Amino acid sequence: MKNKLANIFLLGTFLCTVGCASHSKVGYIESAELRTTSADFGASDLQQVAVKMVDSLLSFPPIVQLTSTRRPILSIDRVKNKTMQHIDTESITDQIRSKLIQSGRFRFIDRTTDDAAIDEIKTQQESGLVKKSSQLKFGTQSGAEFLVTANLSEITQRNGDLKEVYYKFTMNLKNLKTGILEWSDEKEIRKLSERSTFGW
Amino acid sequence: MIKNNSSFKITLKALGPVLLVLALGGCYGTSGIKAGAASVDVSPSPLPEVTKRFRYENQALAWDVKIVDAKLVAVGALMKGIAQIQSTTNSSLKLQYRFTWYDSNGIDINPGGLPWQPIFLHGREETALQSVGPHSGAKDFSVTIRRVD
Repeated sequence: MKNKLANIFLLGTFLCTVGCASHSKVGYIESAELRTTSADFGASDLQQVAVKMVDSLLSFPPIVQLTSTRRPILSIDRVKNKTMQHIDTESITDQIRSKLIQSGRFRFIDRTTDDAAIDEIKTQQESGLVKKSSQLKFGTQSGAEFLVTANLSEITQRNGDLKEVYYKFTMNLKNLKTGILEWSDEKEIRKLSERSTFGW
Repeated sequence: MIKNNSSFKITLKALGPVLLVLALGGCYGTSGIKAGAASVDVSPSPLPEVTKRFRYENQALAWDVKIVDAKLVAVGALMKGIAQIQSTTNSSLKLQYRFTWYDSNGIDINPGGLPWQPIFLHGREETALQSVGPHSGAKDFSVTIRRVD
């Protein structure tokens, strides 16, 4: 009898262990899908921010007027991350820059690849491989007329199992010649997460 | 006879409050305002060219979200789509929407789709969903709305 009970207990323990073992499920989801898996800044938040900023800049009347006759040259600075999280802010600026270029209203300067550009031009001039008529000279590139700056801040509040996070993304367009901020806008995101009492 | 009249009066007295409550309830029911259902709407239906721009992920949502208007506005060389919707319920709605832009041939210019955007509609609230076309080739749009749990 005691052995029977012990066997049943062992069997039950074994079944529970197997049943509780985690089963991972992997699959593709739509890249444009809006999902909130946590209160942290995520892909959906990045997409919301990029859409809002680009739409706002493209439809701002003084910018519409400015871009009606020509395509101004912009440079984009790294986003200042004022949150407590590690966020790849370059992804945000990359997405915004891509959308603005695709709009056909702006042109961009990319300072992150200057070293590679200098190496290429030096090679063209000094290696002897490139014919003189095709060689590029230094000092012929266009300069940026406007600078895009941005910062991302966060305010977190906790109360027991509740955590509320407020994000604010602010973006500005500065005229490098006059120093005037020609455009500014912000996107606010608020997320609420509640930890369940049971479970893990 | 007298006894019957008395019992009838007593019964009527007892039933009076009950009948009053039923009558009031009936009056409330005919006011045309019911929680969770569309109120009586005498405004004209949107034109076909407006409704063709809206898509609901499930048709049941059409009862709760009314199409008010949809229009295209030129913003320089780009087009801006504006879709006005209104909640027909008294409770808040948690929704998501997504714009799709088409070229002059009616082809989706961004097959991956613009990202879904969240929107919260409070009871009877009207709001305008907006999107600027990705480039000057974007000539028309549609907006898809879905409910989120």
